Amino acid sequence: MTHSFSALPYFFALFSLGHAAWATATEHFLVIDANNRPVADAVIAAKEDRPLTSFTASQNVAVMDQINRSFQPFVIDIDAGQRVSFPNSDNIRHHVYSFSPAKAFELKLYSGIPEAPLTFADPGIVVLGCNIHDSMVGYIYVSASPHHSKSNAEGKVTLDLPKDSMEIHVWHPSFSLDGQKQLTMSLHNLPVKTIAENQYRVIQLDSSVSAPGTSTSGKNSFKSNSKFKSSQ
Amino acid sequence: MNSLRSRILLLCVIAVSATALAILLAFWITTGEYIRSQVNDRVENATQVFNQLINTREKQLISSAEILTSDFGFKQAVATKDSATITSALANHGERINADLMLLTDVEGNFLASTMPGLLPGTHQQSTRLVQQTIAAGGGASFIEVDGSLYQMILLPVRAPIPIAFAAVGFRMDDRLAKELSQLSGLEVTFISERDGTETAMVSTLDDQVLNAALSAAADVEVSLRLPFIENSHFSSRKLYLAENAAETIGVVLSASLDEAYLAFDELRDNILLIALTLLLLTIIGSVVVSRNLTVPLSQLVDIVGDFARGNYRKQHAADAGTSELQALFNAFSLMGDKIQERELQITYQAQHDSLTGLMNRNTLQQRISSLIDSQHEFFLIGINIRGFKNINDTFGQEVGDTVLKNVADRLRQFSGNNQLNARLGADEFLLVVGRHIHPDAEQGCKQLLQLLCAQMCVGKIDLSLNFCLGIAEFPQHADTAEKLMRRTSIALDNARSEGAILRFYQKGADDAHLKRLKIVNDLKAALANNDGQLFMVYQPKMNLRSGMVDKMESLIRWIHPEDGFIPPDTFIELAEQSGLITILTDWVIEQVIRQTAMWVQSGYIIQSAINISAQDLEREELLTLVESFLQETGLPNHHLCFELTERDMMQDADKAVALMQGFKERGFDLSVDDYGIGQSSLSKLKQMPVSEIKIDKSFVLTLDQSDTDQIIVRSTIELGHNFHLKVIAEGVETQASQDILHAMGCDYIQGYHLARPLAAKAVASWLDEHAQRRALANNGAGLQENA
Repeated sequence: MTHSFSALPYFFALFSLGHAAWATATEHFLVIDANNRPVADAVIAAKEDRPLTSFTASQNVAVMDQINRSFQPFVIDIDAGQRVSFPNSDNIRHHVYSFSPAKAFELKLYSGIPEAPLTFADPGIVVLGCNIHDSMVGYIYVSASPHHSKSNAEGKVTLDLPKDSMEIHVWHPSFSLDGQKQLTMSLHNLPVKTIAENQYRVIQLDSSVSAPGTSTSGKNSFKSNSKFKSSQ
Repeated sequence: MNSLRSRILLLCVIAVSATALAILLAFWITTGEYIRSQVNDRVENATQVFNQLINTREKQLISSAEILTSDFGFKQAVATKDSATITSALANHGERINADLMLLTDVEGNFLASTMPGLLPGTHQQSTRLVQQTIAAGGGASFIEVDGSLYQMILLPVRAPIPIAFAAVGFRMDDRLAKELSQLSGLEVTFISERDGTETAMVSTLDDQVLNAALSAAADVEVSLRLPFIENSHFSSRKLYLAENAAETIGVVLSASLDEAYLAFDELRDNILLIALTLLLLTIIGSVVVSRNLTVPLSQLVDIVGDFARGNYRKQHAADAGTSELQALFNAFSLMGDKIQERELQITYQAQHDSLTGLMNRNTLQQRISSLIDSQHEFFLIGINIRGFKNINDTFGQEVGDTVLKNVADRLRQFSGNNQLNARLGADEFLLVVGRHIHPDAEQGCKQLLQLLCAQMCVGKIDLSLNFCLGIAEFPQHADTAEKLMRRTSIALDNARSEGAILRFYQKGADDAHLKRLKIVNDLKAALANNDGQLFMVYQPKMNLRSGMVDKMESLIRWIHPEDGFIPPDTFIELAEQSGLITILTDWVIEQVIRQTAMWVQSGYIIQSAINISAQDLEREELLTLVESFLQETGLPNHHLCFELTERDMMQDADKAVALMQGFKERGFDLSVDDYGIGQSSLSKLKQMPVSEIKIDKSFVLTLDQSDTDQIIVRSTIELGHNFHLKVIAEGVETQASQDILHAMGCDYIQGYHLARPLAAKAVASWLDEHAQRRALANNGAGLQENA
């Protein structure tokens, strides 16, 4: 573990040099739902036209902790090829798995830190679950572009985007049942709103989004279709 | 239906039936209402129970299905997205929870796999739509129809941990389930599928026969008259919709069989009916028995009365008289029968017998004679008449007369012995039937009878010796019917009586003469009634010998019978007298003569007509009135009429007759004594008579010129008459010689063929004229002679 941490600054330096040719600009986004309430855990990533091999993934090991029978944080966004560690901070065992196409894996019952972090090579959305705790859901957004970030509790996202970048991907777990759906938006079409002298591009979602971590949890989320109507 | 029996029966039957019907109706109405509310409650409760059952089952099924979808291996299999793998996993896991149908879709609702071969991805549009619809609602439970079977579908997401697919777990709604639900809810359960408005029963606990009736039954129970012996497959059904899919609607029909609800009622109803019928039967039997007790004696009484009506009064025994009242009635009827019989016998006896003597009457004896004739017994009849019985009655009184008759009857009985066939026909007339076997010789028998009858008879202190006359007719010699035989006996008796003989046998032919006389009387009666010219008057002139003038005529009646021709006046006048017709005849004659004479007088002829009247006429006071009324009508003066009476009639010494004659005389009518000389009139009597004329009987006049005796009689008679200041007329003058003698004797008038035969009315006037001319000539001649 010590080794991996010591390599981080180096990697970062390489990354910075390698992309010096593309100038970036810092952009502010505000993600709100249909009711104008801020949406947290929404991931915004630059739409990347280049192949994955054209940049180097972050060497930082992202951490998806399990605390108090939930994944912490609820959503993490990583570069394709970046590694993620799944430590277990609970005193009970977890059986973390994912059947998502981007990365299907299974970390059988374990406690503490598993042997090695997993590398998420393919971009996509990886839905995490625990086989023994159905209520535990977590998401790993594996971005095809190094330019990505997620909204905070105020719905604000700030990230550097290439200057020639015209379109962005927007993702949030509520977009589809299986959480695989992401949206593509044109930057110019987004309205701009100024908050505290910063200009925010406002991304308003079509639907109302619940507080993070509660939207898809709960076993009996179905509604009964058995409506008995008397013939009378 | 008017009989007592049927009325009693009808009354009882109506009473019982009405009672039973009323009970049944009341029962029907209250029970119907009660059962209705009960069934409705039951269905309502059962519906709630059913809802609960379905919900519970749904939860159970969901729990089962969740075990499946939360199975990590299953999730893994689903995640492979390998169809074969998924299908095998579905089958494998489906078996664990006894699912009948399993299918898997992705979160978009696209089919991934199913355990039913026919239900492949995209092949089952309706099901796809249903699944999509269900996914849109977030998963859950529903009912669908797949290939003719109903399934309760549990749709659950396969979470990893968020849904990666949807697993639909289907449980077939089969008979077993329906039965289970039926048992739990207490209702019949039928699952139905409605497609394009058509309802199809998929599964049912009901039999096919009643299924349609149950499905179409209303939810509310109708109060109906449930009649016995009629199929009453009534249901109360309620329909619940389980799922409304795009193409079809799945529902359940909960049916309560009313038969069950009504079971106790029907039983009670049947019991009531049974009781009513039994009661009815008992009533019928009872009323039949009661009415039998009443009607059988009644009909016996009817028979008895019928017997009474037929004259059968045999003793009745009321064996079956049920009640004391009827027994009393029966006894009363019996007594009545006895009394009626008693009286009838009495009446019959009275009707058949003579009350005084106790002998039979005419009718009874006639019937007996008829029977004897029928049985061809030989016998003879003796008609017996007591001579001079009237005198006995007049002399000694009726009491003695009656005693005599009784004694005679006793003697007849004595004579008849064992063969009592005796009758009293009239006042003093008896009839006796004597068998030939007892008295072979009739005459001999009669002599014996007379001996017996003529014996001295002592009545009170009077000794009487009676005389009898007997008439006899024999059977079969004299007649062949009872009526004829009796009549001929009577004829023989009449003969004996009129001839003064003791015994006369019937002479053959006598009856014919008798009948002929009867016919004459009848025809005369008819001729008088019709006045059709059969009867007419002729007039014989009488000439005044002194003057030679004809100023009197005797009217004489003539009868030309249309069949028998001329009938002598003596014959029919005698018959008329005997039959009492004579008064009518006289009236007729009086009218004719008065009218005719009035015509002549009006024509200028001075003429007096004489009318013959009989002794019977003299007893009629009204005769004088009648004559006067005709005279008044015609205006004929009284002196133009003369009445001739025979000497015999005149001497019958009735005071009434004398008084009448006096009346005639006072009114100026002439009275003439006809046929004078042959009667036995005493001169003193003649003197008392108010007559003005005597007419010498023609027997003295006819041969006057040849008989000295007659001349003596005639002369003395003329002298006698003249001495009494009576005119004398001679009739039967047939020769001029006789006329001359009479003229010489001083006779006043002559009448006879020498002068003229009786003339028809229309010939009279001309004859009178001719006679007047002849007389004038004769007078002239005589005058000439005298002059010469």
